[in-house]
Amino acid sequence: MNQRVELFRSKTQLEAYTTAEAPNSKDTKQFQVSQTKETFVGRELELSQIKKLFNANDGIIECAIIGAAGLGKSQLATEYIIRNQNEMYSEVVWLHAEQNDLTVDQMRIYLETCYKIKFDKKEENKKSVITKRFYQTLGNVVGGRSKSIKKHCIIFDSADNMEQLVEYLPDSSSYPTLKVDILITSRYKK
Amino acid sequence: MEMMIEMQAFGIEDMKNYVRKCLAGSRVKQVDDEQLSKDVLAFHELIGGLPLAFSLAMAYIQQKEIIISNFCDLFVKENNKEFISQKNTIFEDKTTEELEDHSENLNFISTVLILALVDLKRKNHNVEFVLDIIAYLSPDNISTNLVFDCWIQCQNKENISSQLSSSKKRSTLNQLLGEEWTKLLDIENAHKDKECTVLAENFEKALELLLSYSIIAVNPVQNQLIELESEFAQQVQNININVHQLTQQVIRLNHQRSGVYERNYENVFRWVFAELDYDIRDMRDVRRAGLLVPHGIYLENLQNHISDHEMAKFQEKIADQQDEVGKYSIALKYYEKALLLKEKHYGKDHPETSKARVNLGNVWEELGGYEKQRDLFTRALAITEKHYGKDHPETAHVLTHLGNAWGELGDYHKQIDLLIRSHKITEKHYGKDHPETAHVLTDLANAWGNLGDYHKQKDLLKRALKI
Repeated sequence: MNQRVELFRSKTQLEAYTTAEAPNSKDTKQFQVSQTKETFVGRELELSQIKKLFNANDGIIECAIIGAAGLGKSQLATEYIIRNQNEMYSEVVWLHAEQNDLTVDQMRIYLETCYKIKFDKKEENKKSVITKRFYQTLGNVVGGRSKSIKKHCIIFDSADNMEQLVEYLPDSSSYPTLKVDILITSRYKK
Repeated sequence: MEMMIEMQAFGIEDMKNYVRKCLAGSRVKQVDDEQLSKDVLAFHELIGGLPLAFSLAMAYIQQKEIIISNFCDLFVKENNKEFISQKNTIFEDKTTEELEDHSENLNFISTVLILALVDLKRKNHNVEFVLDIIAYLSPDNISTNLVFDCWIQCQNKENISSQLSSSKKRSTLNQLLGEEWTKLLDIENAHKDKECTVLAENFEKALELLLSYSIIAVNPVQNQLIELESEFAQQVQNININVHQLTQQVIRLNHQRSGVYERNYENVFRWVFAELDYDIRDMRDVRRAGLLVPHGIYLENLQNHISDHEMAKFQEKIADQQDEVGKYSIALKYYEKALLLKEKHYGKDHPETSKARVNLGNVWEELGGYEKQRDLFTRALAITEKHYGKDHPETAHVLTHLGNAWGELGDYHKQIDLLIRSHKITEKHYGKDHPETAHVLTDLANAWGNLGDYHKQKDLLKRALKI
């Protein structure tokens, strides 16, 4: 078993893909954003719509990208990030939301790795606790660097159950200092 | 929701741009603009404007270095076989409406995928096996190490079964030699080191091929994640891939049509089932098993033919792991599912079903749902007593938890009654000096404390402390 791991490590062929495509922006922190370079064309109208909406945002705004599987929803979101992250965002957090129960894990890992936040064993896995902490942290960061006008962008990718997603979404009354653009991709309108 | 953007399929212009971008610098013969417009129109007629199908098609064209009209010919030929029946295919948890909605899309993807696979199989026969596994895993961030492990396992199984079937005529002899066989295989395993190198190379080759045909994408592991997991960096040292869920769906659908869905599902299911076991004393092993949980949840959601009691076990394994790492809400959900299946399979009063209630009750305890806990344990107590007898340690275990549930609900007299019963059994069974006994004593002591009898509390705590 270990030998095999070793073997994999010494192999650099595949890893070449990973390093070659590292993000080229030093100013923006990314979490789980796809680094795969895909051919992207069109969608100019959609991109400018999103940008216009988010540019005017000084609080919390949500935008959903809806459509059948394979139409390129996630690709559109990725392209939006690639084009605008330097200018608009200090951090981009990509959350795989297909399995609703597991989204909170990603939030926790994000907080632990990017902010070195430690959770009590007891509260470590409570959905509400982590979600709250997540938005509080993001809200504080922007408030702290008041000079910076850069915001956060959060993507909930493949959130196929909007009803369940709601518990992860922030409202401005609970987080008055939070400045965040939220992109949601989903196959369903509900 | 402030804004909603509805995605549309690619128009002709988008497709033309896409083709230009793809083919710039490639060895595929370039055509003039007029020809390109014609080609793209024909293309659009065939596969519609679904970007996913289109990107698969373009990857194929680039790999094969053919011109678009050639591809169209190939596509028509393949598509005429009507690989996917449009209706009456009930599969997975999707409603038929939704299916019909994109059955056309499935068809496009299926055809392109089949073309690609024909080609890929010729280059490396492992590709299909690897894809057969990937189609049943949770699609985001699939660790290649996991796929490799699963693949090796399935391969071994296939090898063994093919070896066995090749000597079917001597099957009775084989049965007699059953043990000898496994020994032989063990010896063979000793030679696996060298073989392993070859296997790993084959596997990587297969992944690279899938990558070049755009069937999978590679996602680099985040540096930050590696930092966190540095204590077991070895395990993290791998590459994550992802695959489009529609691609997975098409592969599974094709499996269903050719009657291999169940076998492929089961291959992956058995592997995840086995891998979900962990050594409770080894936190690293617990976390390793945790990597399997998303895939377990994914498999559990797919249509399957796994028997109720096995699926219940699978759900319990997911719940156990999540319980172990403190993810009680998921643990709760899966213990509940397991309880339902066990009720169905074993009946409501079976000890197995009772165990499921105990599991569930324990999670409710962690979550502070003491009334739920009390009800579950009350039910479990009756069955456990009946099945194991009034003096069985299993009964004592349930008594303790039930007692503590009453305690949490403020009924300390009941708590003390139950704990005294539990204590008697525990002492008898384990002996006076057993930590289990001390455990019950401590609970009992605190119950007396809650009633205000601090002398009794002190006495009992002293006894517990000694142990």
